[in-house]
Amino acid sequence: MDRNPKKLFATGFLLAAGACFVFGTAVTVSDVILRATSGANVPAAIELTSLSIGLGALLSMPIGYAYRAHVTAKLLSELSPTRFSRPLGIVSTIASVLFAALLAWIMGRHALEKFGGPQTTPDLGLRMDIALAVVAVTLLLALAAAV
Amino acid sequence: MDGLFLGGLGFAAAIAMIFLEVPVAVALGLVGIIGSGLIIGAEGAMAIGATTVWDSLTNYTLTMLPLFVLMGNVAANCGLSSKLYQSMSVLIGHRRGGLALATIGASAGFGMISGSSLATTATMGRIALPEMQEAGYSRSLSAGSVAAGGTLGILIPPSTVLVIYAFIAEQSIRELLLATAGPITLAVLLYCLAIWVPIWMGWSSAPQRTRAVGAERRAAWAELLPPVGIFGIIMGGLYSGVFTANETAAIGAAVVLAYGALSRRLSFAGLVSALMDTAMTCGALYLVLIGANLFNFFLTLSGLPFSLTGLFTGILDQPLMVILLMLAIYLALGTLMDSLAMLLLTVPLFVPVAQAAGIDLVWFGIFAVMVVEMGLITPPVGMNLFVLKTVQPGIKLTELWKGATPFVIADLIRVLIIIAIPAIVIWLPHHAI
Repeated sequence: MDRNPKKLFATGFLLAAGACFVFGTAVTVSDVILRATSGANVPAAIELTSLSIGLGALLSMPIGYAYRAHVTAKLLSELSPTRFSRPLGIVSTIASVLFAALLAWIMGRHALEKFGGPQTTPDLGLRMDIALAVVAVTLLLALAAAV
Repeated sequence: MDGLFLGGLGFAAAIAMIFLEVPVAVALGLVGIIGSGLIIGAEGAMAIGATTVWDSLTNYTLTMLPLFVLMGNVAANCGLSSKLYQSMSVLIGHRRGGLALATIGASAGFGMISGSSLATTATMGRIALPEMQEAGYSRSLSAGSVAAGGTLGILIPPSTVLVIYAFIAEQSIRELLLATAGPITLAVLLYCLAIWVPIWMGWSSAPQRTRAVGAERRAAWAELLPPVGIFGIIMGGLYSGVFTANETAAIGAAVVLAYGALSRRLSFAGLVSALMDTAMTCGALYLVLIGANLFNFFLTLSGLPFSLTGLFTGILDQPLMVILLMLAIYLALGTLMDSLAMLLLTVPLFVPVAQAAGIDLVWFGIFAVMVVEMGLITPPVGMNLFVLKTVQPGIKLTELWKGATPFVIADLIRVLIIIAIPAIVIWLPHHAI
């Protein structure tokens, strides 16, 4: 079994993200079945689905940075890999690190501002400061992965 | 600094960065945050940034994106896409140009799964090109059908590009997905002609193969049932109004998972691989959406979309002129960048103009996706053609251009038809239950 820490870290995050997507699928399908059979709904189904799928997408972001898996329009490096791949790779990495740092800073600051506040999510009543802290920490991991 | 000037500068910077192969999300996001900061100050830009990240991650409409991607990845791991090509090859491969038609059909199927023309072209180029060349098909016809097939899948539901358009332009995804039915039917008919006409005229060779025997044909038909059934559930659910678009995506994913488990075509390793691929794709897509939202906000702050509408004032009463101008811009951009990048850059600018010219925004979404995809195969520098050249270095660029030309003409005719008869696009969504 591959014990490469980067790969183990990536596999763990991607599987956790995948599990979030399956959970979101299960909640929505259960809601449809319940509605069709008994006219009832899964409590807070929409928020459960949104939060679980959003968490899945968030958990995938650090791995996207680590493996440079972002949507990129490659034209020059396809035309002449030897001439363009390396310089454009450097430009891309610098810009990615800058963006990851900006997002991590913005969300970290926002989470600190909300810390200890009374705000909760509308249906499930989850504490917003904790939810925002999860986002900030994951984006900090994304920054580390981008570097 | 003048907001309008900043808007123009930001737009140019985003294009330059994308051209320099900075990830689309990063290019749009950086311009969005920095540009907004220059207009409303750092505090305001950070507040907007935080709200945008949270709202994008928890947006209910967007949940269909990972679910559709999950459905596609599970289907691919069940072997549905490769079976699609094999089945179509058995069923129509004996007809003249049959393998090229099978390639178009299978590329469309794979495009539905991958959501990327470039990825579809690269993958199908490796699968279908060798088989067509072995069967004696001319290289131009083989390459043209792979490049064109790659563009078709992006329009077929579940289309991730349309979901993203719906999100940015604030349009109904259900209406947009239903609106694809007419253009897809047209595309199939015109692509058949794009294959047959050069063969009839003797410009391309496509030898007939031996017809498959009964048992082989029955097996091929049986293999076609699952993908057709899944597509039927998606379109049937959407059309009948039984499910919302989000529910359709979840049910589609659940049905494919159940099919994989019950037919034993989805191994545990396959499931893990599908989940990981889905996560990787969706992390990238959500980051793109965050970047696009930040960029949109900056453009709105700068006033550029409204100024652009002002520039079009003289021709706003002639929607046809507006459309033709946009068509030219999209074709030019298609030589530089991927379809998603083009849409993300242009939709915030073009939608207000289209709205002011009285153009239906569902129709405009379909038009934009079709034209953007057409740009990818338009010689001399359509990006799908370069991808094929990379996959099969032995093919000459002139052969690629020759092969792509009938399909570009077919696409152009299709665009002109939907411009002349918009009902082909908007009748179904406006009359669905």
